[in-house]
Amino acid sequence: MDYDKSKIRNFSIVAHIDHGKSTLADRILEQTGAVAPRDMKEQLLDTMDLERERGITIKLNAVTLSYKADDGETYIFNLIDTPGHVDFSYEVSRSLAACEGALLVVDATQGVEAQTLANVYLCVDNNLEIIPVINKIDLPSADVDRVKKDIETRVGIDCTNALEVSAKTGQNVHQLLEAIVHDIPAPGGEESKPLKALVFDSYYDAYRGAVILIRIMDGSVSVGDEIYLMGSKKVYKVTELGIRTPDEVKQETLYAGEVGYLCAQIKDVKDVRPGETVTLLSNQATEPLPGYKPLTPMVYCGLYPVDSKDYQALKDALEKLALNDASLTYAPETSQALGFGFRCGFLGLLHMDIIQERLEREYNLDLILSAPSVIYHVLLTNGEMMELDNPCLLPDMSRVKEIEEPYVKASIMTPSEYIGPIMELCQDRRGIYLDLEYFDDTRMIITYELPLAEIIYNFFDKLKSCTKGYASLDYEYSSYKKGDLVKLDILLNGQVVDALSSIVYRPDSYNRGLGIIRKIKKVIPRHQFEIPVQAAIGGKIIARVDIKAVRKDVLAKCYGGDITRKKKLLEKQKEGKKRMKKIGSIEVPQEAFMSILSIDDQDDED
Amino acid sequence: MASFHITEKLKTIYVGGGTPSCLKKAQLERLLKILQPFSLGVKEYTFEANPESLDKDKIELLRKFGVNRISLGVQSTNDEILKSLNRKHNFDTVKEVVKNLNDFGLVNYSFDLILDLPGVSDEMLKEDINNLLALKPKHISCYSLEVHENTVFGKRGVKEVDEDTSYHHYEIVNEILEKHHFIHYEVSNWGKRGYFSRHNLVYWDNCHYFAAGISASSYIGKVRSKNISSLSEYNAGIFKYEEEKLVANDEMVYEIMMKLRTYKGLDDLKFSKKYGFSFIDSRIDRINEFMKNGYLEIKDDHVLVTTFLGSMSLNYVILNLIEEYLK
Repeated sequence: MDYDKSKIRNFSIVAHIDHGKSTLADRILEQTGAVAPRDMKEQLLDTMDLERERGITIKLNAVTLSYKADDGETYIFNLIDTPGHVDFSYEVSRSLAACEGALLVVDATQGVEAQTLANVYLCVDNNLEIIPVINKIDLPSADVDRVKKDIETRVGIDCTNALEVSAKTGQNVHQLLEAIVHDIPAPGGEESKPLKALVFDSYYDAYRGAVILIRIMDGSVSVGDEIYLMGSKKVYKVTELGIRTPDEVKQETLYAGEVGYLCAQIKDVKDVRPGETVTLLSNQATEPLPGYKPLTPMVYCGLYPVDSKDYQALKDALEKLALNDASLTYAPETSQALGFGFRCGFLGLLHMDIIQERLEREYNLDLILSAPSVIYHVLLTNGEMMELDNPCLLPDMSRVKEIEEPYVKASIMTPSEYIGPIMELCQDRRGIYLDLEYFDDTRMIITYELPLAEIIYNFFDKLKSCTKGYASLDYEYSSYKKGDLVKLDILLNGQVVDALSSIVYRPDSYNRGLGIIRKIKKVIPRHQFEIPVQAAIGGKIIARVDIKAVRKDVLAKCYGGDITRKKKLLEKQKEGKKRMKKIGSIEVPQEAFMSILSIDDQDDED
Repeated sequence: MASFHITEKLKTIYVGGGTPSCLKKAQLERLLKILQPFSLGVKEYTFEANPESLDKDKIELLRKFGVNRISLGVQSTNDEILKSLNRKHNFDTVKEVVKNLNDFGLVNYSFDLILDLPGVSDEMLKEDINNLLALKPKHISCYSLEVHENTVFGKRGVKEVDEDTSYHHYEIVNEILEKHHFIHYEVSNWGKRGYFSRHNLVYWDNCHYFAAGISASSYIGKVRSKNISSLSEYNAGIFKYEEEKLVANDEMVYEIMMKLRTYKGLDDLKFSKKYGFSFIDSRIDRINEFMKNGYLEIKDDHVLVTTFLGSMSLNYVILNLIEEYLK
């Protein structure tokens, strides 16, 4: 493949979850002939099973395609995929920075969502040419005109030439490919300048080390070059370069404007985080590319094996996952209740969910997660400031001057009729009202500053339920603020269970405590003795419920044919017990530790 | 039946697991004739029956062929409740059947009662039991209502009662029956001394039994087997047995599981002889814990028995006692 910068088109697809991004990517791959039909699986770019199952893209990916356009010329398309969730907005912004254009995909039956908007802003920040694409026009409920108007009024993009496609049927995808050729500019940059390459993703390969995906902004890089990573300040020697079509095709050199992969026996993906700038050791760029952010996990929780024998296996699994996931951090910790485990940091709750599921599914581990927490800034009376990611480590309050917690700026887009309930919810969650603006005749965007801890605490579910699912949420970190916060402890059978401790807003502490212990009562099975479950603040019990002893649990009829069934039933119950963690003499299921997040306010039993 | 090559002499026969009384008289006679060669000299010969289908003629016929025990599906003595259960009989029907049974000298009869039915108060339950006792049964079985998805109750959204309520109902039953000299000899069964179901005790003693018919389960040698459950295939003469061959700890697991159901409990001397170790000694800590909390007792220093609470919570008790022996 000859290098001709004017024939390169680097672009991304941005869309809200479910608006059909991955399906469209598949069609583009199919119609550019990059992938033979026999290799097609649904949603080819999502390589992990989990991604495919959830229908969302977690890990970024890039593919180089060749397209013979109607003008007779062959163009190189670099399609860079982006994850579609607020947890990963930094990763999205870095992969967008590798592009000159973006396809903005909007579902013809849904219209613009808050997240679409957030992504558009990211595109605008990166000076991308945006091509509006209205997808799912094959559906009977498609309303192309309304959605066009939607995009024009809210996003401010002219939709005269918007493409109307069906990724599902392939309708008008050819026109879309032509639009990519004509509307998206060829990459800039100069080959003669010192190398500047943007890292937008990486994955780990057991033989080659970290394989990093890069976009060459200036200069060129060849196999054998010594490279310098400007963020992590590390030096490596390039062992392999190539493009992915999606099969890897090795190259000797990558030039300005090109997208490809680079291997340099890099042992740790944390050295090559998205946003990193690669330059040459001998001919360094004067300054790195803008926009690099150091790693900042937002949510922490403890991960423990149900069976303590699995500690080493969990350690190995985390090591392997972290090889491919620069955002995942982990460090050993010990819990009195749960034994040996790891404190893990995540970008958000979805990220946490995904890691948990992968550990359980791919590594066959039974896990207990302690209640997730944000990082608190604890100012001690001696003037020190401690960063607290584990509530049970909060020092005695006599040594604490004040506690600060992280706030986020949350933008919620909603049909205007739900503004009332949303404001009530945000107010209830200690939100600070910032702004309310009309987006068009029917929809509004309301902006609040909210404690991140409140967002973690089933905020999204509540938001969905009070708006019948119509509202969408986007948030970004804003600042730390002082809060009236206390540590809420939970006692099982008179013993504090450290993994159930959480830091809560003092005025809410009674309700929160009661909610948690009620939920725990529901999920811990009865034992042969009564178990008191108590909530306490500063050693003082504020609420209590009791889990009664087992009274009736028997197969009433056990005659000829029931006997084998009865044994199978016992075997099944044994299987269920395996997934419980024994704390003292009490068997506690996994859900109990999540009760802190999912308590139901409507509970009204004892 | 003949295909089993039964050479041992049978001690009990039980015709049930369905409602054999609904057979027409001629059909019933045919069945009884088939069973006749096996029934000579059996100690207990039981027929299950629904009240509305057991007329005088059938009783006479059963008597003639040596049937000496009837298990009657009474379910409730409240006509409203019976109607809600779609039962074809009312309590008068039951009284009539009982009168006929006594007239023919068939005095060993047992009643089945369903507990935890929706709309049954404690008072109604007591009335139920007293109504039954007035008919002088020798044996009563009580089963808690199970609601399955595709049943009438399931579709109506009926919920099973919580475990405390159910326990309370069984307590009421037990209290009244014990006052009337019934012995709670198995989880769901009460009988007067000498009238415990010998046949069902075979199951709970983990002894062998033959079975014939659709879905019928046998336990012979080291194999537990169950016949095909499809009626059309069965009628076409296809007998397919699902077999469970007992291996490793299976027999022991069954023995513990079943013996703890009855008042006789698990005799640890016999257990040690058979399995080469003392069950009680091997898990004395767990047994002590259960004794402390009122679920188990040790009688005569070597027999492990459940208390009333223990029998009502037997799944929990067994699971925690023999967890490590389960697959």
